[in-house]
Amino acid sequence: MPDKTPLQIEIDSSDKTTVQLAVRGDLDFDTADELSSVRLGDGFERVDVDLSGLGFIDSSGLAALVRLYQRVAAEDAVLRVVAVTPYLRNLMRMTALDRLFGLPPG
Amino acid sequence: MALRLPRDAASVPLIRQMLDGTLNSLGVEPEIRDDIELMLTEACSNVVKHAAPSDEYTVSAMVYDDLCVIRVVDTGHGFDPASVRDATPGSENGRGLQIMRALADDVRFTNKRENGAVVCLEKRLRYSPGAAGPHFIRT
Repeated sequence: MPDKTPLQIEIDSSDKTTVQLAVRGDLDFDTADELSSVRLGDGFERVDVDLSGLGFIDSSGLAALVRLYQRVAAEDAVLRVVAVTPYLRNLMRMTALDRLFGLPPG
Repeated sequence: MALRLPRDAASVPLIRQMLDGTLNSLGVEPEIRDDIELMLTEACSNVVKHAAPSDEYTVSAMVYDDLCVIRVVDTGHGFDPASVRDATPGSENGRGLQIMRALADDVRFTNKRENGAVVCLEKRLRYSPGAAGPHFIRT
């Protein structure tokens, strides 16, 4: 039986205007709060989120992404999801989140 | 398989991985397993979030030929699925039922006469070539 892969959030804010966020592991009911409360610093204009390393995501994980999107929008910045797995792309289409997150076509 | 679980968040990944491991041993295709993992997670996290005041819930999963039937039973106050609206793109909640309906081949929600709710999820299975499962699951 595979172990649950822990959630890992990597933040790169070396570029002042764009925060790069890479999320890996399982983003689910158990771990979703870790993402919505992540510290992003200030003064950024864009947040690019790479979700291509996600092992699992559920509706609680999607809700955490929406909360993060709202937090970023409240700072007058834009959050975009820049990379996904094929499964996640389907799930985002199914829940009409692909447009909210500006998902690249593919 | 059937398990009685404590109504806490850590129970959800546990049951999800147990069922996925079992279906993997039977040779169920990865795409189908992914769908089952997700719909089961949605059903269980709804119980953990909403089925107060119960302390425990049960999950059972049965495989008949090419059909997997999952039942998630709690002893909370029950709920009316018709009252849950689909999420709009900007809203945080309301995607759990939407996902279950999209991924399962059949979903039924029933409230028990005493107390509690039953979610019954069915999924047609596909097996990888050479899989062990179809040879000994015959009803």
